[in-house]
Amino acid sequence: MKRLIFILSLLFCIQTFAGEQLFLQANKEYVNENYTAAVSLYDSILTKELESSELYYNLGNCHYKAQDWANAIWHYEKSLKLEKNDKTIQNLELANLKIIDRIEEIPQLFYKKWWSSFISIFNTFSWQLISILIIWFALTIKILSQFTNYKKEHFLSILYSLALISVFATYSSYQGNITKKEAIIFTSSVVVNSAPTTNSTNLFSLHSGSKIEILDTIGEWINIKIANGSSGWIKESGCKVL
Amino acid sequence: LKRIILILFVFISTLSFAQKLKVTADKNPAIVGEQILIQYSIDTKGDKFKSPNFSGLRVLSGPNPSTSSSYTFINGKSENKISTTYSFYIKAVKEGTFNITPASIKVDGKTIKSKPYQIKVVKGSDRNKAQQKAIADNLFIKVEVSKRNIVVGEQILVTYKLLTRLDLHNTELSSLPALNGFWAKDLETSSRFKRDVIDGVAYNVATIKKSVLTAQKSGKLSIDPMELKCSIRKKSNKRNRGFFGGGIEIQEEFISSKAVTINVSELPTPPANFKGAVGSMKIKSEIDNSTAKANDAITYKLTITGTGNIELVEPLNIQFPEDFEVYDPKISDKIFEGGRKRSVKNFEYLLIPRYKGDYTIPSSSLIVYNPKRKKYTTQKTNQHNLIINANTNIDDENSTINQQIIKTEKKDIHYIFTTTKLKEIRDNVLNKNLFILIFFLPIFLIILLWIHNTIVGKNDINSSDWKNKKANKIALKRLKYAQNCINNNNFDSFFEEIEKSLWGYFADKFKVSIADLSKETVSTHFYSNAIDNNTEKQFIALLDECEFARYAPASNKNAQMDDVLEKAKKIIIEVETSLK
Repeated sequence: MKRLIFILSLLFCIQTFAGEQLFLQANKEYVNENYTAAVSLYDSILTKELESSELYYNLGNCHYKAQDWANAIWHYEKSLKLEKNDKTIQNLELANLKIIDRIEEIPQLFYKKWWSSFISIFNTFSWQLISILIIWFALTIKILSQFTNYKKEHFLSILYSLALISVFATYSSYQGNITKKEAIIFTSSVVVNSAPTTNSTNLFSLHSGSKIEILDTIGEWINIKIANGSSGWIKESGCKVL
Repeated sequence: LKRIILILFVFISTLSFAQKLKVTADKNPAIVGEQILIQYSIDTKGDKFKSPNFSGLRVLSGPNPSTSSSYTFINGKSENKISTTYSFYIKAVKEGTFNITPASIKVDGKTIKSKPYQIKVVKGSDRNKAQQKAIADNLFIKVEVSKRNIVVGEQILVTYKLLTRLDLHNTELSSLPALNGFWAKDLETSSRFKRDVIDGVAYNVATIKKSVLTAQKSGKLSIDPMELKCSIRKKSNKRNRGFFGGGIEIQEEFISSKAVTINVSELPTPPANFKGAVGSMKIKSEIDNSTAKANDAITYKLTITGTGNIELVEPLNIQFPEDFEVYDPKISDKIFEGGRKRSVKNFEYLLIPRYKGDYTIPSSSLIVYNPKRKKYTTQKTNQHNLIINANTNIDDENSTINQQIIKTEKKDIHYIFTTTKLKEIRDNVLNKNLFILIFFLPIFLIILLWIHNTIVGKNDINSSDWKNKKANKIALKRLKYAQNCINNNNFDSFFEEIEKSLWGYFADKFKVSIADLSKETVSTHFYSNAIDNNTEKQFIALLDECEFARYAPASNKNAQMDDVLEKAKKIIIEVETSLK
């Protein structure tokens, strides 16, 4: 059993090493402005079931240079899902200026903003670990105090409230990153219908590169919502899920 | 009576006659290819004429309104007549019977409609046909196109020639060709007739129109026909020869050219910076001074020479140094035959260097598609090195003080990451249910512990060891102020504090109101709680001692204070431990 694990981990190491070599090779192609070659090299890393936020970022840059805005935005968003980075956010802003649609975001209430920036300090997995650690720590303290007659009521109540906050943060983070499905429009123009049928009213149209949130799916139709709050139905084929 | 009716009838009929819109045609039935003059006339003034619908017939011109008025004076009676006529020239294109819908006109606010009119068009007799053919053979427009298969941006020369063997009196353009998808430039033509022999037949040939067309989009683009109204002078067949031997008749004839289709194909995948220049062009750049002083103007001249759509070439994107003030270029061109012959286009940039230093104007390039070689070529300008010296005329100090604020005007994306750490693609989170299990298990355990403590755990806490500790703590807490008094050597308030603390403790412990505090209540409560008699005595003795000490202090104050405090502590501990 131990040997098997060892071999598997060794294989994985070799795999990542090969992937990182490819990454360096692709970077060279990027420097030489061979963006299509760079894209195919970066993509070959993805086919090895390997990923990283930097990889998606570089892919986004390649597509940006090749003026494929929808693909650039898709990869920047994907990079941000793995890790938040100022460079990525700024590049994404630039790419968003190039596309046709300009969606005005509804301004959030200040406490919601604070809360979301607080949540984005850690990723979902870290939040899960933090809340689990805190609650188990609280349990150990509680048990210890039981047997030693050594009361730590204040400390315990602080731990409980921390656990409460972290479990709420975990929930929000899970909702925002795992449950929430987002996509980028890839076809040049999509008409948003009021119902999942072709002859229903056309509400508005979206163009390639716009970000949408997927609320529901019925057959080939998906219920979408965009950042300004309007929603409707489009066919699933027009977009690529993040 | 009969007479009256007759008079009335005549009266009505004349009245109605005056308000009629009459339709007349100069020939009905007509022959295919013939022109028909249709006139709508009314004997009053009218306006807002609504044209009829000539379905199946071709309208050559019209409606042409005309009014006439006549004034007659017969036998002392004067009469004023006004009539309005709208005339149409119609061409019968095919045979058959054609219905012309009624036309309408407004007279004094009333709408008057004409009757529907029918025109019969019949096949001409051979003689008629021959006559038509004779005209068609001897009078026509020929369209010459230099090339029929071109690419977008390529130019073609289109020439319209009028060929005739007839005696032309006058020609008039009746419709210009529509040129959808082309950018047209007309060239100068001389409309003088020249003699030309085509297929052994001599014609009088005039070039009516000559234009250079540049294709703007791909696909099958058609050059619509051009129509010409010609008046032909003919010798009259009629025998009414006049005094001057005249007998000349003028016949009007409409002729049109054939529509021409041009196949415009898309350019082969253009390079990134291709701006649509097609032809064969050369580019050259010049600079009037390679050394200049700061703030002195320099002229940078870019010249494009060659053939093709040179007129449509836009200014190149030249990366001038950031410290240069650049003005919009002055564009001048000399285009010959719309660019089909060697033409020149100049862009003159005025540059003003603001600071001294060495600068370079990098070479810029123009990508041209050559339709003959079917290839893209890149024309490059030279790179120019400039040496800008400090300008002595202006205070040098001033110019150095004039600092520049660094600003980024253009935005570009950040550079790529050069290193990365790859991970396997998978959702890096705990399963929702697993998380709930791991997180809520300790909570569940904590709740269990709490329930256990509240229900069962009380006895556990009552263990004597624990109780002693607790009693000690309570005593210390109660006697805190008294302790403070010892530390501050405050003899007077010490006993008061002790007394207060003891009473307060008693009141809190046995829930006695302050008004009921007395030595009797102490004994009753101590008794009911089964506290040792000895303890009660000590308690009361201590209270007495405190009272006494307040009024008759002992000689050794500090020793007494320590002793009293110790006693008080002991009593409280004893009460605490003996209570259940």
